[in-house]
Amino acid sequence: MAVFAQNTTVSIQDTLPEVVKVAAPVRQFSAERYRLDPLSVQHLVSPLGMGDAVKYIQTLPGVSTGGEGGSAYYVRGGSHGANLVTIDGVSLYGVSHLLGFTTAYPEEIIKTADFHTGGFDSEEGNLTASHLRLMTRDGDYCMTQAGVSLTPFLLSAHVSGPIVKDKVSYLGSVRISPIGVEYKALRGIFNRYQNTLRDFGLMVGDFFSKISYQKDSHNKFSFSLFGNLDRYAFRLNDLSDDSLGWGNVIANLSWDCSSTSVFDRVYSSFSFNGHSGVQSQETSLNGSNIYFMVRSTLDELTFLSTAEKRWDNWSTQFGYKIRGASFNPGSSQVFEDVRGNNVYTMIVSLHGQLEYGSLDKFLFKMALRGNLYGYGLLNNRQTGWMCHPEMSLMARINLTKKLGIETTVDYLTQYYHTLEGIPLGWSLDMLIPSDTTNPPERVVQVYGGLYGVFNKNRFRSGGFFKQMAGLVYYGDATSFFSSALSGWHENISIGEGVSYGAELMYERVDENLSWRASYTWSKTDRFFADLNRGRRFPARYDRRHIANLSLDGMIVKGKNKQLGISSFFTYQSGSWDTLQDGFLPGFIPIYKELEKLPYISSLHNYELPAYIRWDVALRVGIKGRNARQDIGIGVYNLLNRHNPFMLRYDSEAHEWNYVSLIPIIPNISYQISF
Amino acid sequence: MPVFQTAAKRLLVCVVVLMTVLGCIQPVRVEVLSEKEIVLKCILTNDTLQEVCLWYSSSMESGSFESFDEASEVVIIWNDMQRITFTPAGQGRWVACFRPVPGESYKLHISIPGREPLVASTTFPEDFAVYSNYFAPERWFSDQSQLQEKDHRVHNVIPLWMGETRYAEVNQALKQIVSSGGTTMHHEMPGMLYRIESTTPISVYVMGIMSDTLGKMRPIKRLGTNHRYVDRSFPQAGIYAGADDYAGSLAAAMIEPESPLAISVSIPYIEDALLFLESSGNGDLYHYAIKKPYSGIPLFDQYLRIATPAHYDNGLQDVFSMCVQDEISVATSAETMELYELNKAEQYFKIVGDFEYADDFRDEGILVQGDRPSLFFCAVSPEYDQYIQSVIRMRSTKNTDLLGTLYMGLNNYSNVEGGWGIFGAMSVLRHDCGLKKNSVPDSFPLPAWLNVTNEAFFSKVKTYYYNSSYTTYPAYPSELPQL
Repeated sequence: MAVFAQNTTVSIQDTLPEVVKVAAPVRQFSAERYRLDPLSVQHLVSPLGMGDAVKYIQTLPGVSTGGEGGSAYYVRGGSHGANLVTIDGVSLYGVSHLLGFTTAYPEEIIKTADFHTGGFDSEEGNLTASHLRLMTRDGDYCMTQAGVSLTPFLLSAHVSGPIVKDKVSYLGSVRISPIGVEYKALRGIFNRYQNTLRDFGLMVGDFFSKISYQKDSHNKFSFSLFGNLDRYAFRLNDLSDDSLGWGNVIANLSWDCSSTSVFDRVYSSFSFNGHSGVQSQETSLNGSNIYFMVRSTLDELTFLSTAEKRWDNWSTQFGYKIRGASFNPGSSQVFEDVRGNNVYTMIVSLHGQLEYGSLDKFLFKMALRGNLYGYGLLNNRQTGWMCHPEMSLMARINLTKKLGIETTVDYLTQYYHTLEGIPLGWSLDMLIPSDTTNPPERVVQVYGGLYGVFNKNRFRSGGFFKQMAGLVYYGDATSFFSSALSGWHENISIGEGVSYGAELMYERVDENLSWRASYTWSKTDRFFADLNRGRRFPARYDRRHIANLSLDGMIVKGKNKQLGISSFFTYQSGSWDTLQDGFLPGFIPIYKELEKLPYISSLHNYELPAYIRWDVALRVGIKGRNARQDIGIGVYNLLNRHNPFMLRYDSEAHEWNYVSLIPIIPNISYQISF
Repeated sequence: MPVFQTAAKRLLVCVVVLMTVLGCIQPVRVEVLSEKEIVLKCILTNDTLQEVCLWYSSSMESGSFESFDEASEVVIIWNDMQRITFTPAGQGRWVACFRPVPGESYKLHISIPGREPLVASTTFPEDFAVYSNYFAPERWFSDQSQLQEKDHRVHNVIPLWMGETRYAEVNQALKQIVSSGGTTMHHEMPGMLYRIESTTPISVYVMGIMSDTLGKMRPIKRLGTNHRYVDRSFPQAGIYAGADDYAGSLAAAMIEPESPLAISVSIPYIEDALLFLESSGNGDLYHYAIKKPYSGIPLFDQYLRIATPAHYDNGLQDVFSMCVQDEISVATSAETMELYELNKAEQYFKIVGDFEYADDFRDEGILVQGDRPSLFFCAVSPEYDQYIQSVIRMRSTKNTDLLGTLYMGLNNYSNVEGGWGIFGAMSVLRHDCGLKKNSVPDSFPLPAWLNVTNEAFFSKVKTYYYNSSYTTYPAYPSELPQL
């Protein structure tokens, strides 16, 4: 590995808008907005070694996790698909790598990561639960920096530097998984324990590339390209060659102009965003080669422009967003032309926001958004248009210098439904557009609470209520792996849900020791007229109690050497599974013999045992003349608790079983940066 | 061997990867407190004898269902006043004699001491008709010969009475089959087209049965169709795998782009053909011959479910069949196209299946009919339609205990208040396929534009092929057999 002698001083570029800086003391600590600290994110212990933003979000109050170790998260009773993730304002639909165990983008490219759960800004739209807003950093305009990190699951490298000093910079990152190589090396051991799976191979990786051009102190142009791919191939008992995978491609061209003659800032961008999920199988039948493929795609073209203006205690922003999308949800080569089953939609949004705030005293915000949504466009499908207003209100009042109250009210609409398969946050979930049969999801959410800041200690507590309509329930997750997926519209139900709860968080932030304790009590249910005989039932991840305790500290802090420790403990009420009560006789035309059909008295009628996990990691940081090295050694699920993921009935032994996924996992990571 | 693993097994792979290396399964004691449910089955049919059956639900450990005999009264009510009372027949059965009226709504009421009554409603389907028609025998070869030479595959779609230059090769192949004896015709309903006619939209389930000479019946395991409104959400069993190269045959059906008959169509099943046509420079203008092979269409387990709109729309409104002369020349004006052909293209559909069509044979000098397929077209009430779909789905996933979490979202459909089960209705038409291999009907109309000078040639063709009589039977009301 070549090492280049470089000055490791990082040039600081302050691009934080004035409106945020002015209101920063009031905004600093909000129940609805979290500014994710990059170091805290990295220090979080995950099954693969290094933490990521989604794993961090899963430790916050109001957030329930999905399957063990995965990237699924549920905010205040919403579904997983109600969460929006954006990179530089462009939606990212396939968020995870490696079957949901890590995110699809590298943390090294991220400048800021904000997590919003309410009081949304006017330009945030097409979501009903949360927004993870990722903004990438520019490359360094002055000097070249690079870094490499290694874990058993991901290898990554990034480089940043000037192309033209102080004018044009470049930032690039690439990650690839060595698991395929590791599998080949350990194939004999692996196959000793099972003989179903043969010739497993995978290709997992992502890349990011950004060129930024600073025309002058007020104008900056950027072009970025992001792509990620997960592809898994296997041979199933020598019968067929199967593969499944998903990926994204995002291209974004933006112009950021501060201090125009009229506005304080104007931001415009034009982007393409493509997301796809593919499953294929190749086999031989009667001498013929049969190739079968199921494909789901979503391609978007978006143009947006937002202008900001500040004066005295007021600030405003307004703009528009035009997004055209092409959906190809679950078409198969057998049933339809995988290229020709597209559904075209368009969302035209006009938005505006007004803020009035006095430093350290109060902040009021009203955000409005008007949407015009068209579906079934261009081709001869059922075409229609819908119009929906959206609104977000936020009010924060500092009662004293250290104590305040805040409240938010949100009325939101989402036009894309996510048909969720396995709740591990796999990106194989299918996206479908709204239409008259599947109306948009609409949410009303209210939050009220108290917050306080005492030196390095901060706390907040509050309660929320959320009513959801237009929820989609996908009843046949197994069809994600067959061409029956192309008949998805037969298997969905439309319904509603209610969620309410209380959230409490206390944290201390200090450079030597930071810790945070959070607790959520909540109740979430669902109602679908054609399910569960028309009775309400708990949402699958309606965890009554969620308690998290995280700790991040320095044990030894020397000039060139550091030893740190991270720890995370969580206790969560079990999720809900469906227990089969027995069997019902079923009848099929022609056959006299009765079928044994599962008899389920009610959906989600069994609460799994509590989810308990403790993770610990040690970090060693060594700062050399030219490079800094970080070594992490950690243990995920130190207690080796087999947290049940779901129920299973063993029909031979006539007994129920808990199925758990992840036992104790040691992990190691190495990072070097120049 | 099914081409595709069931969805559940494929998913199992992914979970096995995780579990084998990492995970854990541990037993747990679970107490089920729900009481036994009463399950009802009553399907009104176009027969005169109607039956109601009742069972208890069973526990997880039990392997059988206990019949329920404790109902005090079982009645069907219609027109708010008319009642039929069922008579107990033992072992959970009640029977009554009446024939339902198409379009009439019926309400079933079962009184059970100590429990709330079971109540359900259904409507008997309106009358519908199934027409069948004979079509050109374009695929009357065993699969073996089709796969031997590429040219044969190209020629297969050309009607045998056309193209003298092709006739010799086709004739040679036919002679091979006739002389080999005992070869069966695989994978295709012998030249039958169907048309469903109904004044209202209906859901029709198509099931097939093979009857042998002793009257023993067995189900046809897989069926496929080119009807556009066939239900595609059922987990499919396989792909109809005949000759895999149909691009060549489509080329034979292609027309010159400047022909007045060039019509843009949209056919979902033939991607490769689309690619072929686009790459050959003809854009998206082509004719689709209804006679084309069906390689690559999905086969469904045991049933076809066709949600047909009213009348006889097969979803192929913009499809016109055409006749081809020699290679790719065409009839030059619409008037010369056989109107009979056009009507069939818009309304008819084919059914293919995974079955064998056995030759007739002689047993001690007596001609015995070989195995023949029969198709049952069952128009069902909406409730029964939903019920059958839910049962088929639940059935396809029940073997995978590991995945209960995922398929528990599927619902056992039931329209019975106070219990479970189904009260539905079904009207059945049966079509017996008596077509014989290597034969054409005497009444088959030859195309009007046939060149008169070829009359001698075609006379020779007719002599060769009209060597046995063809019998068709109209679809008739029937009871659905119980296997």
